[in-house]
Amino acid sequence: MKKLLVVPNLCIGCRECELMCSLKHYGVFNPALARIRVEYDAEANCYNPVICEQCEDAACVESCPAEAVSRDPQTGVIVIDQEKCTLCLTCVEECPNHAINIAPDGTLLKCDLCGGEPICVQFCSKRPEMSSPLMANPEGATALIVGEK
Amino acid sequence: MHGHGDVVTIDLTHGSIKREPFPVNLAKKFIGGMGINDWLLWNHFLKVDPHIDPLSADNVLIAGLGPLGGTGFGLGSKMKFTYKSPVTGFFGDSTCGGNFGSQMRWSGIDHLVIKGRARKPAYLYIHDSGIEIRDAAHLWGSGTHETIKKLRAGEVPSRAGIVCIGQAGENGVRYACTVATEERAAGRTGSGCVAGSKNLKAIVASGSRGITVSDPEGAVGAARRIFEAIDADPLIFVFKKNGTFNMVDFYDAIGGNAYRNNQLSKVPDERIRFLTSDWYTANMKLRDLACSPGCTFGCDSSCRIKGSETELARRLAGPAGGSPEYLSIASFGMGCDIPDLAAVTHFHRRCNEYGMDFAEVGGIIPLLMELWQRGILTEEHTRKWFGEPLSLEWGNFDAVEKILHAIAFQENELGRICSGNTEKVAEALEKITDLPVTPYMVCGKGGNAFQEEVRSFPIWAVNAAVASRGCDHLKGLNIIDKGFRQDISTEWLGKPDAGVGYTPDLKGAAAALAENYAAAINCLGICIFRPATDPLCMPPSLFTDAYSALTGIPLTPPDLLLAGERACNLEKAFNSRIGLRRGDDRLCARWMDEPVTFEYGAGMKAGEYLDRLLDEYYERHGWDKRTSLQTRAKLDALGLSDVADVLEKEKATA
Repeated sequence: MKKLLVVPNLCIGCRECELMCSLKHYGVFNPALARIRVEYDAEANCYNPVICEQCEDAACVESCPAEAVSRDPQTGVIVIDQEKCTLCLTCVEECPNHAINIAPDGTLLKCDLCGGEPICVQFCSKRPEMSSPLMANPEGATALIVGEK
Repeated sequence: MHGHGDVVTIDLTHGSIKREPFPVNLAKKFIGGMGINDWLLWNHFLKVDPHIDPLSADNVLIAGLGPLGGTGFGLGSKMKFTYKSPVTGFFGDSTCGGNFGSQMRWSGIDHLVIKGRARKPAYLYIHDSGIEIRDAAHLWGSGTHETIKKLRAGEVPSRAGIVCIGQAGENGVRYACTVATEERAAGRTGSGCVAGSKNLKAIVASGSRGITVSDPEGAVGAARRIFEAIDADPLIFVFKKNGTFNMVDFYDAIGGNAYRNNQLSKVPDERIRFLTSDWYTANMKLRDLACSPGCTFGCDSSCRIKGSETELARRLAGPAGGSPEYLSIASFGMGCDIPDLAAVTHFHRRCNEYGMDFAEVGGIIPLLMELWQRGILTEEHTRKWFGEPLSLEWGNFDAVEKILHAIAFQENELGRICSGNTEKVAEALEKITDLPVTPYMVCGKGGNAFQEEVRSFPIWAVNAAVASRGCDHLKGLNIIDKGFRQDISTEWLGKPDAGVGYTPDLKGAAAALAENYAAAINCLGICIFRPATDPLCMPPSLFTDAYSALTGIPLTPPDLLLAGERACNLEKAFNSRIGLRRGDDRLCARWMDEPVTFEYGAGMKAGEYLDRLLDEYYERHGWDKRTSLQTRAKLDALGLSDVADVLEKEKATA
């Protein structure tokens, strides 16, 4: 099954992933509605994407008192049933990656992997070969990639 | 309306705030960004005398981000400040990356029009529909990094975008800049000085409304086509890897660098090798960074001075932070002859901390050093200024450090002299020394500095002589002659001549076209670095498709180019009202009269071709070549008859 992965040190902080995620799911450019989040680390002056890893032992699934969070047996993607969700935020608190975001209207934003071809990966900036000793990657590498579980 | 946000007018004197919808009838005419900023400036100065002192409360500080800024079209978010410049006394604007502009757009605002003067230090806080004028007493006196740290210590959301001034802006340094999170400056022409004169310490925005899209599927398609064009650019990975650092090596080969106050156009080999991207990557660079949201080029970077790289680095070791760029390398590494990237990085960050344009001070300090070299400034002067003798010899790190501090804090006579632009500094020192100083200043229109060789690259010489905001390369950014791009010349002018290096042929016409083109890109709110310089790799249809999908307003490439031309004409008209004429389109004596000695371009001096190229430039713009003024016919054709009416009344048309 597919999952989203982050290659360390390759994120440039452009937040293109947040912008394209909100465009795909809500038809707007709005990081506040993105299901992925890029965090700035002021001390290291770098950016780190915060992603849902569709965990095997998923704390969000196990902790939900309303049984609103479940894994799609076909795709392996963990989804939130917004009808069942009581907005108690237990999953937000229990997620070890802090990868479930809260929208301005209070509803929850969780990555659904875009059906297997995440738009964030498609628009992640392709980096040059060996841009720095910390970025010792081949030409065209991206910070966000799709891997197999 | 989709894709555009509101225009908010804030009067700091009265504490009033007015929020109005984007003027939809002007969308096609000026698009946004620079175009709408220029329109707002023009309108402001119909009610206010354009001859006012730029530090008057009646000046206006306009902030605007164009419609493709803050979006996912992949070309970044470049916000522009527009005002009457305290550096030159005429039109002023300055652009920065960073995340403030995007947060403003995500709050539903495209433009801020800031008028008046707050009674006490204040900052603006914008959060969607909430706009507050807040007390900034606790921030006054702080540098920009410290200001941001204080604001983020619980006062504003950690993800908020901040733009602020440092001590230079508070203390009236004419070329004080504004600095946006993270470490991006709207450097030129004194936006920070205007903000300081208004007692405005910072503007903070945190937006969660977002930007609505007329045709989301069309927008994904348009973004995909832009990505394909970026991928197909043969130079893209070089730009992504090194950003403006590329220029160090390239200019070294073509004679484009300016060494020791541009006395030479070549930095000695044993020195330039410590200023290159290779040296930087091996010794200091950490990671690539995007300078603004939505920028998938990511030509900025993060670096750390570890302390072991160079002798000076031992004194400068510190945490990770912003990287130097071509202009700071040219200013301090080449101009002051300090071939040490740890030192250059330190000065780059120090200027940002003080909120001071390193391009201008990077012209002033090399001038002081040349005056020392010539014995015009001596120990007698520096003892008087600093209370102890200070050598201004080439390469003196401590001299640069002390001069920057003296300027930012206005702490001695030299600091006060150096608070004006390069020409003002030269004139003041000429009076003090009673010796010739102005022959050695390196500057163009308005007396503003520029640290590149322009004599062998006549389009850039014309740019430096005519730019609406005073000497500068970005108003007409292009790579036609400095990049030898005969293909772009042929596409634009039907002949390759403007792309043939080291000749003046067709360079005036190309300079005019490049101005209109760069202005069009600036109306969109995106980076001009690749989109403006390479219209063949990134044709304008890419941007007009994106704009149409975003807003639902059909826009063609000719529409876009016309909007850019209108913006150029508004800026020209503003300056004409102030009294600028052909005689103000000028270059310094060094560029006019002293020949290039580098192998390529040897013997070239602007005095031999500038007049002819200015004729060509004005003609291509449709302006009168005798006076440089606009004609009614041209303004009518652009749909700017109202502008022509004002100019005619003030006898400022041809």
